[in-house]
Amino acid sequence: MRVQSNILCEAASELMSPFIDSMVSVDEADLLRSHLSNCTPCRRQLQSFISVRNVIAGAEPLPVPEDLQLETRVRLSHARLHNRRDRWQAHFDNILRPFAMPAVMGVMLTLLGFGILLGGLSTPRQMAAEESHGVFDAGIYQPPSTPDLTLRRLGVSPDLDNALSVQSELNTTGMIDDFKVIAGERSPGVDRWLQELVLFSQFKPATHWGLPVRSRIILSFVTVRG
Amino acid sequence: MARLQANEDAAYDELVRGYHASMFHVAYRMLGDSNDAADAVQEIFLKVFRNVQRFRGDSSLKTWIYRIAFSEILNRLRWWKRRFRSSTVSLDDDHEGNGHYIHLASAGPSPLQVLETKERETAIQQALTKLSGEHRSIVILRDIEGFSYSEIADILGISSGTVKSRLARARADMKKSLARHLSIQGMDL
Repeated sequence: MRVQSNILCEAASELMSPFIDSMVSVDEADLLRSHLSNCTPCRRQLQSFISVRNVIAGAEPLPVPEDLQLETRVRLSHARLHNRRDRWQAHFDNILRPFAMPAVMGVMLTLLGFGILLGGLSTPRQMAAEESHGVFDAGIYQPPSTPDLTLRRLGVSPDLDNALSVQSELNTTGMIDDFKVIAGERSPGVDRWLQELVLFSQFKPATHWGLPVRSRIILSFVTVRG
Repeated sequence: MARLQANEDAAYDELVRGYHASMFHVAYRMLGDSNDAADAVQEIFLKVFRNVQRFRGDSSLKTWIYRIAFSEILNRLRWWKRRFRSSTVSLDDDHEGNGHYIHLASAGPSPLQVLETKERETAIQQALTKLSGEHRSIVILRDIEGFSYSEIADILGISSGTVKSRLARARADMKKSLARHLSIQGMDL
């Protein structure tokens, strides 16, 4: 082992590679320079390191395959497209899934609520049946009425000691189909008078969603003396 | 980088245009085969795309891309090593079917110069192929790509001291491999 200057050739050799890259400290550089000034083999070795580095650095840039750039862009574009689609799908699922069941239930309940509220689930015929049981929806239902505030008096009306209440069943044309006295005194004269009244009275029929339906009406009669 | 993270088409086009050649060079120098290198380049850009949201800006974009590139390339080398695939480069494999011609301007070099260039390229590639993957990476990054020691350390995930020692060892090995070529060229060894 040769000893040159302050360091051995082995130590000098280890410093050569970083030395040519300027990656040694000032002290290390001085030591190496000092060693090289007295050691011809190490000077030759350093030169060969420099030559090797220059040969490698002088390697020609290789021609790139012509279609490499295009193929890479196409492949990258496909990957990005798939990724975007997958991400949107996942995003969509994550957002909608928690809301799907409540939303469906909400829509169903809303439809059901509107159906009940607006009576849309009932037909006019059903409505008449419900009305006959005293159940009807006042919102859309229009009660029967008479164009005249007082019914025309037909013939001679009987003297009534007490008020007479008559429950009448109106058909869809506004005519009375049936009636019954629910309060007051009945007599042959009263019955005859009532039958005439029923036969010739014309009401405006009750309507449900604008369509005439059967209805029930209570008529009250009193005798006014004066 | 912000444009890449925003998934802009133009940003990816610029990235491929700017880096595909250098990626191909390092991949070819490392793998020794142009088809494998081209395949590796495509995979590198796909990995860049898949990892772009994780980039935190603690290194330059170039260093980050090279880190991904060398990770991919070294994985390929390890995969081949496990399967006992020969990693030597045939001297006859040079130019006709493998795509890495040395294109020189027709008006420039003489046939002798073309031959010398061809021989030098073959010698360099053979010498590189004899190195281990770790040593080869360092020589390519330092002497061909011109990265600093700290950048090489960042790319390969090792310390600067390790870079220094591995590079010295790799250059010494390269010197032995290139001895004949250098002596023919009249260089001192």
